Amino acid sequence: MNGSDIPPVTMSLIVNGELRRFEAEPRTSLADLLRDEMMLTSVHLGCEHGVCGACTVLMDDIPVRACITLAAVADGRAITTTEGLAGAAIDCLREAFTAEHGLQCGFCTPGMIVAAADLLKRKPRPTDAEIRQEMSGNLCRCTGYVGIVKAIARAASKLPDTTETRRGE
Amino acid sequence: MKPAPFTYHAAHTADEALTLLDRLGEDARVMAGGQSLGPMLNLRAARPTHVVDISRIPALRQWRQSADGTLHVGAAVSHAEIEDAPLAGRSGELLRRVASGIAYRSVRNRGTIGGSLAHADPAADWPPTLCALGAQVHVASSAGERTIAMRDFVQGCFETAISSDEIVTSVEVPSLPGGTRWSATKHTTHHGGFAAAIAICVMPPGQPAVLWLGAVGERPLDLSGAIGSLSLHPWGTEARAAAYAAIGSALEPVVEDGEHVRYRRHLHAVNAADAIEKAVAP
Repeated sequence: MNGSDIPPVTMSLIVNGELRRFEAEPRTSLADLLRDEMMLTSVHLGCEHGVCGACTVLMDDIPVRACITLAAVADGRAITTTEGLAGAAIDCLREAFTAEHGLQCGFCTPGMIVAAADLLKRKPRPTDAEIRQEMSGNLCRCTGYVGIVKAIARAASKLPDTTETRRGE
Repeated sequence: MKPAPFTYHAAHTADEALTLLDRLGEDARVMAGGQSLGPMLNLRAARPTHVVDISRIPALRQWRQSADGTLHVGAAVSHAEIEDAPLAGRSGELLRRVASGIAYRSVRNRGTIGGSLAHADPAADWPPTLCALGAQVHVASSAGERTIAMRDFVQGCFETAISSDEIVTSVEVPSLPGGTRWSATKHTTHHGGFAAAIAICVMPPGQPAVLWLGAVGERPLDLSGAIGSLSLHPWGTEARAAAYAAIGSALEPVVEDGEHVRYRRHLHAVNAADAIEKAVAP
C-alpha cells in the first residue's frame, strides 16, 4: 500500500511552552515528531517498543513513552521534553545526577530525569526500594544504577516535603 | 522500527467509533492507550490499514462507584487513574493494588483497562483479577450492547469473545463484603516486566475461597475448585503443603508443553500458595 495515499494528520501541540502546528503521516510517533520537526533530540530512541524509557516525555504533565505515542494523540496537548524542564526538583536532580555520577554516556538520562521528577512529585520521600521499583522502566547500560538511585535519593532529600501527594499506595 | 502506513481516525463518541469500525471492517484496529498496540505497530507485528483511536471518548473515561459499592469503570480509564482513584471497599483496594503493579508509571498513564481486556495478553494482570472479582464486561456494537461475564471473556491467546465491530465500553465490578481478605501475587524477573505467574485470591467471609491464576496458559485459570476441599485454617506448613500439592495437581494438565514444565508448574504453585498465604495469614 502506498503511504502517500494516506491523508496526513494535522495537530496543534504546545511543546516546551511554544504553540506549534504540524502536519505529518499518521504513523509518526511523538518521539519522531519532536526530534525531526523541533530538533528536541533529548528524546532518545532506544528500543522503539516501550521498554527502555529513553524516550520518556511529559504529556499534560504526566510521563509517557514518546516512541509508542502517536504524534496525532498529542493533538491539543502540552508536551515537555528535558529541554523544557525547569523548577526546583529539576535543579536538584541536575545537581544530584552530577554529584552522584548518575550518568556516563547520557543516553538514558533525559528519560531518567523526566521519570524521576514525576516520581518525586508522587512520592517526595521515596525509599531506595521505592526508587528502584519506580524507576525500573528506565534502563541504563552504563552505570549499573547505583549512582542513579543515589542521585534521586539525594535530590529527594534536598526538596521541601510538599504536602502534594496523589492517592495511591 | 517504524509502523507500516495507516490512516488515523480519532473517535469522539462511542457511536462514532462503532460507525467507523462498521465502515472500515477487518482492516481497522482499535487503539485506546496504545501501550500494547503501539509496540506492535512499531515492530510491524500489526499492520492495520486504519487505526481508530478511542482514547478520548468522554463516556469511556469515567468511573463511578454505586451506593452498594459496585464499581463501573470505563474502558478507556487508565491503570494510573485506577491506581490513584479513591475506590472504596475490598474490590476497590484490590483493583488499585493490581493497577499499581502493571508495568511502569509511564505505561500506566496511557494503558487502559478496556484495552488490556480486548488485547487479552495471557500475561496481563486484569483478566485473572476481574475473573476473581466476578466482573461483567459491557461491550457495544452498532447493533446494540451486550454483557459478557469476565470468566467467559478471554477465549484464547489474544482472543476474546468480542468481534471486530465491537468495543469494550466498561467493566462492572461487584462489591465484596466487608471482612473479605484478598491478595494479588505475581512473579516477574524484574519489576514491571511481564509476569511469569499471577495469582489472585479472594476470600469473602463464610464463602468458598476464590483463586484465579494468570500467565499460566492461554486463558485465566480458575483453581477455586482445587483448593475448595482444603482446610486453610489454621494456616501453617501443612496447610501450605496441601495447597501447593493441590494446585500442582491441577496444573498438570494445563502446563504440560514446552520447556521447563516442572519448573513452571512449581513457579505457579509457589506463587499461588503465596497468594493464599497472604490472604489467610497476612
